[in-house]
Amino acid sequence: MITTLVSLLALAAPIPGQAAPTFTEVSAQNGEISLEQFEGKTVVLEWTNDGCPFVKKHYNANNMQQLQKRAAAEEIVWIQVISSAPGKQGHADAARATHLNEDRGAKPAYVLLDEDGSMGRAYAAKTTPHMFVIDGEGMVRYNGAIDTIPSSNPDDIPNAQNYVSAALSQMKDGGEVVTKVSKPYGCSVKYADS
Amino acid sequence: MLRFLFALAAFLTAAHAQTGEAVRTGHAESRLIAETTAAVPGETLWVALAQELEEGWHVYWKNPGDSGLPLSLGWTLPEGWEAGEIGYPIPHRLPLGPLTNFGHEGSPTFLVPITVPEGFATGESVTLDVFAEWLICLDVCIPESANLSLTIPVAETAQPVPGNAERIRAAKSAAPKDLGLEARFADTDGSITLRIEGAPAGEPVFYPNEGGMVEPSAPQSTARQDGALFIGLTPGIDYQIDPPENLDGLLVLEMDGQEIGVEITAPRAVGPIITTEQKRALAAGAPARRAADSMEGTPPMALLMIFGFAILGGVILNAMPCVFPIVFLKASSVAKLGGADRATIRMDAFAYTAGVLVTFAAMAALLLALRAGGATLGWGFHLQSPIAVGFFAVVVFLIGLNLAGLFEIGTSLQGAGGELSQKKGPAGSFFTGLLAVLVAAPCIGPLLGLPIGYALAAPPAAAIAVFLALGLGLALPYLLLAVFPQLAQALPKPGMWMVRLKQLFSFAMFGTVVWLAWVVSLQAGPQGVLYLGIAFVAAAVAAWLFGLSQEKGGALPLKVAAILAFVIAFAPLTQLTTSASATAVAVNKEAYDEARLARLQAEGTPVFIDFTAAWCVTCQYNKRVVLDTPEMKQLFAETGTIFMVADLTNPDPVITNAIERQGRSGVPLYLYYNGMGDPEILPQILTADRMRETLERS
Repeated sequence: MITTLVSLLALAAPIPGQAAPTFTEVSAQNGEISLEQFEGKTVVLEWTNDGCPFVKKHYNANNMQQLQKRAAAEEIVWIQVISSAPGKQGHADAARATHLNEDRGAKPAYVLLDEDGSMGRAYAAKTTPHMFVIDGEGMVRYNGAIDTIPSSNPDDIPNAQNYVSAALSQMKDGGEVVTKVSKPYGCSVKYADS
Repeated sequence: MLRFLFALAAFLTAAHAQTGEAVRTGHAESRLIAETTAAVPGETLWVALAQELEEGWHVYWKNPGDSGLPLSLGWTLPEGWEAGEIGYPIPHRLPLGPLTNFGHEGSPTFLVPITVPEGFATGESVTLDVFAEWLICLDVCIPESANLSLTIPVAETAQPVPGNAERIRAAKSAAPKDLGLEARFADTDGSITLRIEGAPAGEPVFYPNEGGMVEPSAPQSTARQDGALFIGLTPGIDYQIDPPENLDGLLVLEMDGQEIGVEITAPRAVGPIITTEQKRALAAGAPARRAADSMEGTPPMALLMIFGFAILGGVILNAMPCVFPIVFLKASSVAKLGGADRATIRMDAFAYTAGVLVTFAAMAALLLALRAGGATLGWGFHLQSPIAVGFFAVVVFLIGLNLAGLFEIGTSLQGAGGELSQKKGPAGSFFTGLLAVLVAAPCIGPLLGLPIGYALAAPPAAAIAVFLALGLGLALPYLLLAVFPQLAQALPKPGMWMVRLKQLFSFAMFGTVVWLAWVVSLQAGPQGVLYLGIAFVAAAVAAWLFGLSQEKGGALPLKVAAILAFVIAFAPLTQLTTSASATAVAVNKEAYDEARLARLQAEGTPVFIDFTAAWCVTCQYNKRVVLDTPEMKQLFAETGTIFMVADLTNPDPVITNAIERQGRSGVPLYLYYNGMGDPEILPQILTADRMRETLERS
């Protein structure tokens, strides 16, 4: 009963315009990382699971890597989050997480290992990928899908509009994010069975 | 023979053509199937993507919930052909840790209507191609896709394809229906309250059409109050950011393992849609149950009122025509108490009360047990049998003759209620009480609609309590004698005045006999009245012989003759059974149930409803002459039509409302429902031909 309540409360999704849930999680290479330390910088959160076909779609097509590269160039902090529970698809320890990114040429600033799913629940992360954009004041500016075409087919990427890319551009120009929310698509986040 | 083989071969190849090749992907087998042997220009061809999923794996509904993707179909069709929207099966909640998806397991059938253009050339076969993509998940997810095709002849006529037709028709009948239910939603303390009027019975789950409106994993609280279904929903992120003006979705109701889907279109409510009390029920969140549990929802004040009405009604009952004879009987026994000692009077009053209460409790228990067994019975049901009514008539007739002085009550012939009830002492009073309830029963309904209606819907213990309250009311005037025995003591000592009084009371008995004879005439027709008349004459002869035997000091031959006459008196009554048992060949009937009706409508099962009442002569005529015949039994069986009986013998607000919805105010009313939409109203005088025409038309 208490677990249900907690998970329910935890699944109250962060709404754009509201403060992003704070977090402190172990990263693959840089020890503990928390949201506060990025004050003043735009932060992108990317929920991922290397076994998920929807994640593969964006990595195999080099789509995610390009976004990460652009973020780095603009001093935007890109954080991958792995909320797969041990034994579940996509679960990774520090070594595996690092290795995965080296293999696919991905360069996120950090990889967070959210084994217990606490951060995922705090953000109500539902799918891989599921994207969040947080501004320098710690406000959520975008919550949703990576792009407009929910499919696992890489051929759809050129025809889709990338929500994250659009949000980052609009924020850079000092404007409002036009699409603040979309329905994330992909595999369900592989949380521990509750 | 050869021709037959050719025809068979043609049939087999044809049947094969309407079923596409099955394609096996990683965790599913998929194929296209067509309902009919051919596509008919100008008509809709129903096809379906039929899938067999690996055990444990699921695919997704149009709103997949927290994650997942719905089926996508890309058609390549001949020029001018058009594929309609995918008809999804009823979804299920598929929890995955803290997330919940909406999807399908097992063997889902996705319906697609294909419009075949008018004037398309017949005689050739066409191929329908589809590129189907779906996401299939266990806990891991695999996108799968397949190129499926189906070759089908284009012809002027088409027959159902065995196998395919059943599967497609089953999917069609299970498809969500628009019952036109009125629905609204509003924000209530940070959650969404959805209010749906007149929802059929069953355990409800609401599936929003669009993602982001309702949090898929949040539990839904439900309550049924005042005819409305309330569902408490947790707003999803889209809802929170931009509260919508409409909340559309699918209401799935599960009952006894069967599910129905009802489409809901709910606009945002203008005013409040939930009262504090209803809010409390919703907050309690108990899954909606049937009306039988409504006792808990009834506030104590209303309960007190119901018991109050029941007691008051019982008192008033003493003045009702059907209880009159018993009142007279009771009055004459009270008259005998004039001058008796207090203890005797008290004993007598208590015995009478006990008789009333025990009989009420027993009848209520029997009634509830029979209803629980599914019988269509109202209060006063025992008088629905002409034998019982005939028996009562003869007993009351005998009481009348006794009061008139044709014979006196001795100690012989115990057993028949009337005689026993005139025995002096507590036993006699107890039986007077019993008789009072049995005879009063049919009067109780019309007078006490509210408590009876409540009792029949309440849990058994509460129902019996209500009936006991009624009994208490009925016995109350006599119970007063127990408290104030001086009232009875004030009566003059028995004498000639009592003989005259008894003779006067006998006319009340004969009046009751006339009423009971009339009831028998309705139940058993002219033949029944004839048998009853013979019974009266034989009973009168028996009473006269018995009286003679008393005068002659109990002469044995006279006694034997009297007993013989009594046997003869009751013998013809058994003949009433024969005419009543005509119902044995009748159609299987169900009690009127609006939820069941909605389900049957949704399934497309035709339903005939007989709004009737025991006191409605035309109804009884139609029943006897048309409805309860072997011919009708066969007709209903052949057409698969369900026969529902809405019995208004006792007041029933649900039935009354249903009648008023048709712009009528009373019975008989005969409705024929075939699928959705308004029913057909049949004439008040039915004929077998008209019934056949209506039921066979569809």
